[in-house]
Amino acid sequence: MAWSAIKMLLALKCEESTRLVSEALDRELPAVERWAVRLHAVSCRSCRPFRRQVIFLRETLQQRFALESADSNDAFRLSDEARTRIARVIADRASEDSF
Amino acid sequence: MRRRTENHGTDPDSPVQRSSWPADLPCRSLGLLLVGSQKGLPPGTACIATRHLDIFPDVWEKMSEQEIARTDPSAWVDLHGDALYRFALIRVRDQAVAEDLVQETFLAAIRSKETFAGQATERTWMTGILKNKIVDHFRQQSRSLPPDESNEKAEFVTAFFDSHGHWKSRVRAWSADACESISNQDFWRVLDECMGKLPGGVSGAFTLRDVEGLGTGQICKILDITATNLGARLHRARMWLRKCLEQNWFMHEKRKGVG
Repeated sequence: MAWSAIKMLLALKCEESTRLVSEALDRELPAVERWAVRLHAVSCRSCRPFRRQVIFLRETLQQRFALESADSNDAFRLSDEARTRIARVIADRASEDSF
Repeated sequence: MRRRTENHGTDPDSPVQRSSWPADLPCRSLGLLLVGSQKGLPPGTACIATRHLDIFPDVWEKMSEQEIARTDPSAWVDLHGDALYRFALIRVRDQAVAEDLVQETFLAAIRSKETFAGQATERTWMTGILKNKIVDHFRQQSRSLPPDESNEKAEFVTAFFDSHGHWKSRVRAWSADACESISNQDFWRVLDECMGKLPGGVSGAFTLRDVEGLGTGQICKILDITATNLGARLHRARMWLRKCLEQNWFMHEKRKGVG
């Protein structure tokens, strides 16, 4: 095993660990990096919750559209002004197209 | 309206007219009565559609599911406006941009009405168009940003760690009921505010990846950046959002509980 791999396995820093934890969400890590993160997490009280929280964040965001009900929040409704404007633009375009 | 019903081959003698549907009939029961839950439209939507189309229930019932799903553009703002706007706003986090995207989506939908073959619902079809518009938005945004934010980024992540690469302040576990936060509107408001503070290039990359769920290769092409640069932006976004949520939501909550 290459020296650099051994060094990574045994002496991974938190900064580097967070980078790998983030990368693991986007691609499959090579075995050495995967194990380095795991070994580091055994002894690091900060990187364990960090990983859980980053995963929580991603899962939460991806479910968001399904989770929040459509009428739960007025901030997510078109304003009356926008509604009227868009309706007018549609009406103009639709009448151009149909005749 | 008239043109539409003729298109569907409705008998001209059937009671299609400006209706006088009793205004006091509850929306919900009306929707259920007319469409039935198996049609895949929420009762409220069916109700709006019915009112808008000015048709009587028996005519409505004659229409096939596919025809129900295809409506007149003049009904679109009421039928799909809010849902599309919300979909866009969650991703672009800018009211004016989201409104424009919804409008462009409707116009594109009018242009390509023939391509809507009815395999999906009208809403799904429009959401597909909107997704492309959102990607275009991030593509253009990426072109207009300063070419490289990576120097700034390196400093940004480094700031969390001391000279030995250890965390400056310890990361603590979030409360066990973190999952319940997601049903809290305030949680989403805080999260939106946090995301709003990310620089454009970082937030675009993060949104396409973690909200939209696109593949990294695809995102690199859209934003015209390297895989390394994308990885750095995502790392930065996740570091920041985690920290921001901790400070403004999870710790905050805890303090409230103690005090």
